[in-house]
Amino acid sequence: MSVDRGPTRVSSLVGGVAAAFSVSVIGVYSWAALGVGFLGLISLVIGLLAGKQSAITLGASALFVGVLLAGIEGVPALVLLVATVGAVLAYDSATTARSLGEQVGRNAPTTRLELVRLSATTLVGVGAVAFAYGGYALAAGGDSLTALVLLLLAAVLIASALR
Amino acid sequence: MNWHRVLLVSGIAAVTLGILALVAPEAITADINQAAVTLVGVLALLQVVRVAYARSQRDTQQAQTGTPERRQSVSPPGETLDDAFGYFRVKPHTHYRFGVRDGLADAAVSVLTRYTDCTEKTAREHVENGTWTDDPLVGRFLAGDGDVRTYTPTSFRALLRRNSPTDQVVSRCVDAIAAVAENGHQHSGERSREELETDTAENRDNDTAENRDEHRNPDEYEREERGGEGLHARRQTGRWDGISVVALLAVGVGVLVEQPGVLLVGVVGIVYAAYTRANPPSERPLSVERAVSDERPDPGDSVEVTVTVTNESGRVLPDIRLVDGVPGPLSVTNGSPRLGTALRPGERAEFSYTVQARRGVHEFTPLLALVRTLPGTVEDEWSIATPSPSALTCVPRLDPLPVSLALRQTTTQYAGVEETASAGDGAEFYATRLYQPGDSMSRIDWNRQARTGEFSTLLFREERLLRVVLVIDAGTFVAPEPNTEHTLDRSVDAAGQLYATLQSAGHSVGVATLQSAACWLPPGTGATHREKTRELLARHPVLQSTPYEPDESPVRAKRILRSRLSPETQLLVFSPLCRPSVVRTIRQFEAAGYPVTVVSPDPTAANTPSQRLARIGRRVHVTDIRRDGIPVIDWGWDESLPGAVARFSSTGVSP
Repeated sequence: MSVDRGPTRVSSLVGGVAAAFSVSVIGVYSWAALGVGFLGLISLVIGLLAGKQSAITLGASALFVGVLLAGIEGVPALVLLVATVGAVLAYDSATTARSLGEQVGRNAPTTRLELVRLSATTLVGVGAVAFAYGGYALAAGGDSLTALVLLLLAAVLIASALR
Repeated sequence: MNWHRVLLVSGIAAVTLGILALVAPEAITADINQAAVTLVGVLALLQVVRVAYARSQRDTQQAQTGTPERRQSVSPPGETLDDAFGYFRVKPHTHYRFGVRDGLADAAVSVLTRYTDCTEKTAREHVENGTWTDDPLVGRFLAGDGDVRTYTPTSFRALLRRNSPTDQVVSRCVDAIAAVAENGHQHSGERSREELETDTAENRDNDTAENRDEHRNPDEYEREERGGEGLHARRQTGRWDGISVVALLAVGVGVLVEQPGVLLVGVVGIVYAAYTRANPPSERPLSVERAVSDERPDPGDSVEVTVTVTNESGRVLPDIRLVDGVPGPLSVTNGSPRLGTALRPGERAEFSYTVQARRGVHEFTPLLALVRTLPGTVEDEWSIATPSPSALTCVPRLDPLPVSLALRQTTTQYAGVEETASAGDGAEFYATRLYQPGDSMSRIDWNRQARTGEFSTLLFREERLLRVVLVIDAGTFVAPEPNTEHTLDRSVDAAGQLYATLQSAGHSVGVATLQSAACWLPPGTGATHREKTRELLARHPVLQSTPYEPDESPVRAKRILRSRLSPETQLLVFSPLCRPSVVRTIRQFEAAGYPVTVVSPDPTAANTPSQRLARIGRRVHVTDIRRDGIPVIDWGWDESLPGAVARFSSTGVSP
């Protein structure tokens, strides 16, 4: 009896849907974002079909670049935040699908694990959006260049530390 | 690590100051202009390049799981050229560096001395002069002056396949050697060059397929290597490596294009980067129970295995990937010995699968558990055994074959069932001879005396007991296909069936192996002996489907066996005849006065040049043994044992 080590179904499906969601949310506002994001979606799907992690990573990166392009064109902040979470979720699900497929395979029951992982990643994303957008709404009145520089510097430092 | 901490502390300080500046702008009065903002943006972008580069250099890491569903794989004889050369190695213990050319030359000499009228010396000369084959390239190559680069592919297809010149030449050498072995003369036959090239090209393809399989092989045995219980590895999976790029890129781009929305995206990146830090439990997180539906199944029975795992860690385990330790010789026929799940503290999960029982004692190996943290950044590899060992024991019945086996003509001094070719006491009329003083009165042919007046004595066919020891070569694990039963499985099964056949015919039969003196049952008869044999064949560690290292050396085992054999014992050796040392041992037993018959399952394949060379090598071994007057039952892999025995007994290939 052989083992099918292809990506698991639930996570693959969620990964594809999240990527498509991310692309369509920003695609409504920006042609450039739609184009780049769509290429990312294709790369991600190919990565899932072929079980190639590099294609998945590349696809998710392209999705994010699409989000930034949309941001440069001045798309509303909330849309950008939601699309970013979509891209991260797409990456996480696709990566889970591939790694779980390789270690456990498609024939074994894995749905519970996948659902737990998906909900965790989604919840963290929703929390991040709420935190970012809430802070943005609160601080919108402030107009201190010093505060901005300090906060940005903090972002760079922490991001580098956590990498 | 410290560097990261410094960064983190500075970052937190900057956040505090920034919020302070936001809440009370008078508190901090630094002279900061737009240039500072741009500088931070550029800094972020530089960091992006660094992080993204680091990520692109490192793929995600994770444990490889084997394939316990399948039978443990074995390779065909002659998996490598070196292995195939071993078939022709004349001196037993030479481990000198062996070139391809020397190996092929030895093989050529071996077949020339067996299948043509060459002596060792003339064969060597032929090979050195290149006059033994029609193929000038092969002749030159083995003669030692053939530069393989002079070989030019003669067909476009061969060019396209891009075979390396050496592969082509080796393949053609094997063809030439095979031609000698098959035809017995120095002409390589009618195969055209064109045919040879396409042939070798196909072999080349098979070779690469084989290599891919070889790459999988370490995987198969990894399970065993993981060995004992406990935490075997903690791995950084790296699946979230580079997530900070989201934050850094957003900050860099956002600052440069002055879009607050883009800056905000950076927050999402930082939150995910922080999320990926979570610690896995450090003590054993799971306990395992395993239940089998039948611990003593018959061969071929389906046995259901149910595994229950319980979360003992006291915390939620969000990502558990389990692969059960199915015994190597068993294959899973239904269900999957794997599970991916999440467990709350104290919660249990269950999965079951079906295996097909085979001969032997099969102990389950520890279950492999891969436990990941919620974000999946850390993966712990655990090996978890059940509290009490679980095993399947499968003891096949010993059924006699429907055919009888023609044994060698030697008997013991005890009366028995074997009809001998000598006259003496017995039941069946054999001959008459002139009366000699001392002949029993009751044996005088009185009718004849009445008719002719001469005294003559009736002679009967002597019926004697045969004492046979079944000797199993338990040191070779090969088969033509990777995931089927192998030579030892076949040998032990055959030994069991022939034991039953010979015993029910009334002979006294014992069991031994060439590798271990511990595996020994003196010749005997009766139901108790039969039961002992049955248990020995199924349970002895040396006879299990997985390789086992016996305590003593083969030389010592052979010596002990010799001392145990009483005179007038004949041997039935079960061996694929893959190793010259076994061939030597068989010939030594024959020379020492123990008549030997060999039952040899043929495991050779012919997919690659090295496999074909091994097949020729085995043929040479069979030839050598037969020339000593030892009958060999050459048992084809697709042939049934009764078929092979019947063919042997009827044609009487005995000398």
